[in-house]
Amino acid sequence: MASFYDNWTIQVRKGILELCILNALEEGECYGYALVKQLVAIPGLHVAEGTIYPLLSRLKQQGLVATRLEESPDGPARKYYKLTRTGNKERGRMNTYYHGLSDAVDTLLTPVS
Amino acid sequence: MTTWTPAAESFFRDFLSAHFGARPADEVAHDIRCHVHEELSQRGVDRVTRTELQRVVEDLHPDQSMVEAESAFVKAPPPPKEDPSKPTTVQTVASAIFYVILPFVALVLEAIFHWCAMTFFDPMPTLAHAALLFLVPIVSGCLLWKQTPWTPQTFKTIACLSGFALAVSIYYVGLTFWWIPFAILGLAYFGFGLVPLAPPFAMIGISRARTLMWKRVPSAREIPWKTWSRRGVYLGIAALVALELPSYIGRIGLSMATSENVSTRERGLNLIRMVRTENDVLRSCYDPGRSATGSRDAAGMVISGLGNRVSAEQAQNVYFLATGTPYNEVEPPRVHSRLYQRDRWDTMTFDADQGGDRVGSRLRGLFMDTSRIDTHVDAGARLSYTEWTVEFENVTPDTHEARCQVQLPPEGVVSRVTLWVNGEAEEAAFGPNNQVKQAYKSVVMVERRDPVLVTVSGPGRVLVQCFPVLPQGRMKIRLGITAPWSPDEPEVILPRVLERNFGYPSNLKHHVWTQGDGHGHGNQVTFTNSELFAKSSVIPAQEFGAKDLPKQIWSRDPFAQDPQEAVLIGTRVSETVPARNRVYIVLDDSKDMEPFVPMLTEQLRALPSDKVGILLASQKPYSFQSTDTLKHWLPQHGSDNLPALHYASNMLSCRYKDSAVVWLHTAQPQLGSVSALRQLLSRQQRFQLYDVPLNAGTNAIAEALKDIPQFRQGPVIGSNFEDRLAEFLHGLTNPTQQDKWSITRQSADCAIPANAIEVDDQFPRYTKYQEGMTAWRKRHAVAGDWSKRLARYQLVTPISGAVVLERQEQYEQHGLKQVDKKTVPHMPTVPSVPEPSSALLLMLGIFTISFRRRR
Repeated sequence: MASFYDNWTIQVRKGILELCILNALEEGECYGYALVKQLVAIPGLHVAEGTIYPLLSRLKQQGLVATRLEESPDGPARKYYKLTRTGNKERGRMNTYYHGLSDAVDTLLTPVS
Repeated sequence: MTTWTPAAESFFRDFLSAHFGARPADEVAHDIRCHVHEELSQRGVDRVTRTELQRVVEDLHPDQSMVEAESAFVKAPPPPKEDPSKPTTVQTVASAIFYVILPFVALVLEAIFHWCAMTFFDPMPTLAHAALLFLVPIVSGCLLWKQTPWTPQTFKTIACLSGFALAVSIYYVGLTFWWIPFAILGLAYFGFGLVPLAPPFAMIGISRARTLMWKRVPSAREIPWKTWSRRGVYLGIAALVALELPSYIGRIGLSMATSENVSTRERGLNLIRMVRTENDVLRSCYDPGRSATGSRDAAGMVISGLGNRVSAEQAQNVYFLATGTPYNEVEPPRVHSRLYQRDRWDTMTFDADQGGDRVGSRLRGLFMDTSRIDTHVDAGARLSYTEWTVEFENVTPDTHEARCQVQLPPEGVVSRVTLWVNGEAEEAAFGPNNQVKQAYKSVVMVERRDPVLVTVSGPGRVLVQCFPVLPQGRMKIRLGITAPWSPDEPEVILPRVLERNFGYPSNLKHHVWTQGDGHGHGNQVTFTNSELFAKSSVIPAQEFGAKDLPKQIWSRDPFAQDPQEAVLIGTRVSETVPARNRVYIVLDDSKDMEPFVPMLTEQLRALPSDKVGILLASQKPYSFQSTDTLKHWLPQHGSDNLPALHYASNMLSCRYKDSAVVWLHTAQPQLGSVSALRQLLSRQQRFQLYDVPLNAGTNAIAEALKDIPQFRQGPVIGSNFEDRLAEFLHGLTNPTQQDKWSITRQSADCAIPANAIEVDDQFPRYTKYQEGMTAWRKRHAVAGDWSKRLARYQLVTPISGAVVLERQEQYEQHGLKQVDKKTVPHMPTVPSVPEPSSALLLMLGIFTISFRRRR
């Protein structure tokens, strides 16, 4: 049963992670490294740093986030992420859906004693 | 700056490959690399070892199941068939030929031969332009053959340079796109036309090189390439704007300045003055045989392509109006940039005015090399005779014609012209104007051999034309000038050059020798060029024996055909010259008048205001109501004097009899039609127009009115000009006493009056000149009659000229006869007077001899 639980949590986290990224960028542009650290620090999300970059790359390809490079005095240029107009629109839709889903699921769940 | 050990690099590549399946150029790999760098930086690691890296990447291990799920979203790109960083040999060779070598070679050819510059426009008018253009193939080459890794800083520079080169190449393709179809057709049908295609190839090359760089070099992803590239484009645009904008504004200003609309014209002139593009306008003044704005620089080609064509003559007028200086008074501009200049191209100038009637453009490499002036004053006859011997030198590989306008002393006349041919002095033939001009032109144009032509080009000025001054050769000529001299005049006024098409070497000196008539007085002075113009005083008048001058003189007339007129006797008489009823002073408002403002203001204030009107020759003639307002006069830029001259002449011809216009001016190119003024002057004899040039320079109005008797010479500039001008203006506004010779002619057998002293043959020569001019001014001088008579007396007048040709048959062919060398004026030598010591020895010798004989 442990493998079923693990698979299920992965599926849930995966869907939630995209929502978290888009919401983390809601307040404005964010340096990639800082964004990753912010997401990793969310309790219960249990996400590895290396997991987020492929996701960000895909969101960029899908046009939900945009990037810009800024030179760094030592090392490679820093990449900054921000929401695109489409990304912001999708974030709104995803939030609405998530709240609706959460409320619906809550009606079925037995309160934890 | 962190450094990675090879082991750490290898471990990291394996890590990326194992966990992300990523190639080094992928974005995720770049993100991970950035993350690692940041992490190492946070931990303060300078040297990255494998162990250190292992610690850092521990947290980077992705959740494998999530990565797998992610792969459902992202389709991995198909692996490339071959490594794009390794182009084929054919690609490499083609890129080298078309993108780098062809543009580079085309630029080198243009720099050497100026094909494009001479045909369409000069793509490299300055070194800065050349640097911009050479940058394009060089940057393309660097990008295409990048082998070793670049540091981030070098990468940024290259990104910036590539953007810069792209902007430059696009601009030049824009300038040359119209000939690309012709070049392609030429290439397809005739097999040539590759060089004209260099600009588009260079542009494609730099674009392609940038794309390849982005794809091939992974480190391109590690810097903000696009940002730096964009910065390069902006810099390129800024450089082009800085280099080209003044030219464009200048050309637009030039086009506007030739508009028919007065306000547009004024705006155009202001634009040229504001942007200070006078040099561009100057270049347009020297454009032979085609539209001024249609060549030489890119701006000219573009503006002319838009239909705003300006001729060289229009550009010359605009240059004067914008600067106040005639275009041929300044050094001609260089057509091409100095770096690539060879002597041949530098000095080769097309002379559009050769054999013409005006001095025209200044020629590079043609100089007045030596100058010698000998003056003899015959105090008894109140005449001076001056010989000016000059030598021209041509240092160019082309044959040139030397031309200049010489201002004669007041009321002076050219009475001798000599040319040295193979070291021999050849005298001129004098004849009616049209006859000598015809002879000169036919010899210059057809035979291209050795003539000198001297003709009157205005009151008190002659045009001297000498051809050919051979390549690397010299030409020597002499002008003899007879002029009246007054014992009241404290100086001898010398001739000077008013306008020229040759240069003065910086070390040119005029050696001036002046002597009196048989009194043993003579001295030598050396003047620089500016001194010759500013000064004219050589020896005080009393040195010439000005005391006790004879009241009666006589001379044999060697040119008299009637034996009853073989001797000329002159008796001094005095006559009263009445004042003019009205005088208009026309003041040029050009910039060069500024130094004369205080002197003129003072002089004009002294004139009676009821008789004298003062008119300022500005754009719209302005009449000074009071001489007090002259203090507000501030000459600037260039001014067209024709409207004011026409206004003043019109006023006088309508209202006043016996009046005069005095035109005080500096250089004056022809800016409008003089036909209206010519008509006013030639159809009446109620007033005279006096020409008073205050400076050297062209005077197109004087040239256009040279055959009008009512147009006369006023006082000439010199060290005592202020007094002469005051006396002249006083003479116009007040009755004055004037001395002159009353002439009688008799045969050689008749007795000469006892108290008359003999003078040389300048006296009959100048007397004939005065008679001829009187007849001409009264329009009694029927050209065929008086012009021949004046030519017989060897005089250059408005109706007769002088020409030196090379061979006797040339004279005969044109009905001319070279003057007899015995009849030409000669400069007397100073008689030797024994030194006191020599005289004493002589007396002692005579005494000793006579004493011994007696014994």
